[in-house]
Amino acid sequence: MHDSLYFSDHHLQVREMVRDFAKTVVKPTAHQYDLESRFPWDHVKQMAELGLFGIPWPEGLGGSGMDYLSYITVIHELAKVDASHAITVSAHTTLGTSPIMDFGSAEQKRRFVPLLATGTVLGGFGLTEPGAGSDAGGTKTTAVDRGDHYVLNGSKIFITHAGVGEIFCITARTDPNAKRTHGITAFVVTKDTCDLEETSALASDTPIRQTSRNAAACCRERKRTSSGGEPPTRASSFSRTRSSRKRMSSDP
Amino acid sequence: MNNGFRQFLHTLDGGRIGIAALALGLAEGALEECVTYTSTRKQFGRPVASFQGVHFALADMATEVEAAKQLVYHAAWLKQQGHPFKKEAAMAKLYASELCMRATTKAVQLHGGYGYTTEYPVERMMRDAKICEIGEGTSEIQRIVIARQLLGSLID
Repeated sequence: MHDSLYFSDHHLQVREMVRDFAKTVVKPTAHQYDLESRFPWDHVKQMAELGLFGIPWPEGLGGSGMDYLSYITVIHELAKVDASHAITVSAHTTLGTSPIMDFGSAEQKRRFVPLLATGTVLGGFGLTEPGAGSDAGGTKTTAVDRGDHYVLNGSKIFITHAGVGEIFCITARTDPNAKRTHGITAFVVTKDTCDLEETSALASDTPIRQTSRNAAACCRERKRTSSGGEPPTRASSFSRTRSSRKRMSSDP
Repeated sequence: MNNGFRQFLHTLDGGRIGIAALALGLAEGALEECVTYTSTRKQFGRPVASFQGVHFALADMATEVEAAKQLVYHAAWLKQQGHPFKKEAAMAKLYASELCMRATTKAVQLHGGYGYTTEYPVERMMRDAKICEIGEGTSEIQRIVIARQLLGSLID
């Protein structure tokens, strides 16, 4: 494919920058991180400094203000040397941040996106459940409105960044009477308001080394009702990786 | 409220191009490792890259990587331009992820016994490749998405 087909000079500069980072920083160390099943926090910090955690988001929200092709180029180049680094950028951006950008209220964007886009914290996406994989309409996690807060109860599984992330977009059933694919609502869930739950990392030989086998969500945060009739922000949390599996606490 | 299903389908449409780019990177990275290794590894008194069987493998990998590159960047371009991209994103993800499994498996083969060890990166690439066929919609789900785009209301 000839570069001129899709790439401007700016895209080529981004590509060179990421190629250099991938070649000099990631490639020499990817093997060791893999052997030790260790999350590359020092590289995450460097990628944050390069602006790789908010590539397609506006600079006003902490992003790099670049386009989607730049973002895809970065994933492509990182994956040539290590898929784990590439999925960290991809899951954080597409799954963790884009739902807030696409569907969040103005307040949710203001509150969460700058933290994510600057790479201050990592984000993720909680859709898959032990009994709802390809059949995502089978979501069992519930969210119950308790007046000034929601309570989320359920279990999520295979959640990339569950052990290292702090802001997650979580799906839960808000209308128990609705048919399968209806009555599901997305919530923004944060670590700092965690009630209690546990995650256990998958075996060390998985590519997405911070995908957790079991990450349950439980939410008890006050609604932050915004003006203009926008839906309230709801938040809850995932815990850090722990060694044992616990069930969620029951509805408080 | 109660619109979460539609929202995450939208999110996953975009995510598929990202996973497709990741799979493309894996396949291309594996090809680069093979070009380097087979041109330096000597057996029967010459680099293994001088054997026609290796030519065929490298040529197939390079051709498929090129095809995946076209699919991935075209899907990304469609999304960037605001055009419909659901079908093309699913095609890119399906093709690139199945390619990276084939390419990395072949890469391990071309590295012989060394490829099976952690001394070379191709075994890690092969492990990493498999999740591309599963995460953010399995290959089977991609085929369903593509077929629905083709058939539309004809089968409802």
